[in-house]
Amino acid sequence: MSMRNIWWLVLGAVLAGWPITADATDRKTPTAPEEFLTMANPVAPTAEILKEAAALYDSRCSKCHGSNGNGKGSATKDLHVKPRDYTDKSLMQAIPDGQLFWIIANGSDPDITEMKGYKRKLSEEQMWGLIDYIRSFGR
Amino acid sequence: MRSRLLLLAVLLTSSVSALVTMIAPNEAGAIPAFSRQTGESCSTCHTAFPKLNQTGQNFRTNGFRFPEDKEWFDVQDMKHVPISGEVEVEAEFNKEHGVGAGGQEALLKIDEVALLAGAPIGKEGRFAGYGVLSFAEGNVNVGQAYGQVNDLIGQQGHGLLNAKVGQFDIALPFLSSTQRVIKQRYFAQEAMGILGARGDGGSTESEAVEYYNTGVELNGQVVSKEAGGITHRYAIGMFQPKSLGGINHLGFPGLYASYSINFLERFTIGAIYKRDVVNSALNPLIPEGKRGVDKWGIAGEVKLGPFIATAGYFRSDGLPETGNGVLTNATHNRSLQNYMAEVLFIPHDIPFLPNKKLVLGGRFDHIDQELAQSSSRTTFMGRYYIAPSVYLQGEWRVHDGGSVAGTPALDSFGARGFLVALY
Repeated sequence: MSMRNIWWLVLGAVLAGWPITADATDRKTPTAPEEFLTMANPVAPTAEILKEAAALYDSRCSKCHGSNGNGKGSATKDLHVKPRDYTDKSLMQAIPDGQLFWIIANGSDPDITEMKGYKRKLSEEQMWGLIDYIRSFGR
Repeated sequence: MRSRLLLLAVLLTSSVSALVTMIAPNEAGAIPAFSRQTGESCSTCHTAFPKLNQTGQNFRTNGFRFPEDKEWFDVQDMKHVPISGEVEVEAEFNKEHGVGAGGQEALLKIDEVALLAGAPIGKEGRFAGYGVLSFAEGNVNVGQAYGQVNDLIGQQGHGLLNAKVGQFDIALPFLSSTQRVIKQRYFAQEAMGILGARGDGGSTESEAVEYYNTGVELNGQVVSKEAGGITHRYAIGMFQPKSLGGINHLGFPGLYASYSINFLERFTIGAIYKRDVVNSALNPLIPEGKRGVDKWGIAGEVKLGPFIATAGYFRSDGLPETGNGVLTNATHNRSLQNYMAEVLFIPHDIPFLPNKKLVLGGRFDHIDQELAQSSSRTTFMGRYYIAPSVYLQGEWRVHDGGSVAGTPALDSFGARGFLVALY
């Protein structure tokens, strides 16, 4: 068998053997430690905090999470796991503040998402402010 | 003896891999300029460097902007200097076989040292510049160097219609010479000048120096905001023919147009047409001995899980008439047909495989040449990321058949090893 035939055989087997449905990667968001899950947001959503958080969100988060928080930012085209839809009220009610804080601080699953941790770049107050702002999308 | 050597090689490779995995940083310590400017990781735009994914293609067409950014900077206000560096070390091994074969060649060299700069400029991001200056093969070379005026029509930051001038890659947005993960050149570039520019003749065996056309282009994109929506990309332009002799280059411009469509985030189809101009001294009836040569191609790409499969068909017409009935030997004057297929395997979330650290690939590239022997190249590659912007790459290349673009006509095989670092 010539090298060309071997190549086509390998190509055909690869494409035939990988069904399209296999591309659906499960969401495996890490769960925050218990002490974070029980935390309440210590930063109140004042107008000043929301204004500062909005500017932060626009510069750091909107490319993936979308300007209106729907998770359809321009940088999500090739992501295997898309960002969550912050405008989904029932979904957001099920996620504790501490879980959001822990993911913003430490990042999500690096193998399948692009969400990196911001604990070295943002202060705790800024991260809690972002959570106030994120929650405003679903109201 | 042979089994001992094999065992030793396996143990050595495993030990080095384990050591590299342990010492390699998990986060990017030094990342190139676009990543520093935008705060995004390399894999946001690249499936495997330098191949762009949909986000990367949008970002490039859009003058290196994300539409959400809304506000850009003058050069003096930028937080980071928009310059990156690249160092590439290469080890080569070549061996011909058959009647008249020469000896084997082996060589280690600094393949390329390059500076890359690019950024949108101005508070409204109306202008974008990009340039590459490299030192390779003993010479300083200007690579891509162009400016683009963004958003001629449409909403700011969306790149519906832009004008680009300079020296750049004319190809399909998803399949081009500047996006080769497998470093072996495409026949569609090297022999046909469709996926990027050809050299000025002679062997282009080395990939250290890249070739580009100088031209003017109107380009743009319509990007779907919905997941799974349709994205259109289009470009039309004029270029200075690369292989044209004489001094009146602008008197005989080449023309080109390309279009591609992406849908369901996994399928891309594209077409390109180029009208090149070549010297045709054989036909005395053509003014100044010039002749247009039509070239076109279609290609498709599909993303299936960790696999990216690409296939293309490209064609370059020969000169329709040759005056005295003699066909010139110049490759660009022959009628050429090219078929290529490439598969990349980039594991993510697969058990027992290092995620985002490994790339495997293979390509089959075949060209039929008018009045000359056809030729095929089969290439296999493997890449390992030591760090997000530093990788080792190996390629095994098998060449069957005739001479193409000045390369030897003998069957041959070769190996390449690369160490590439970007900062």
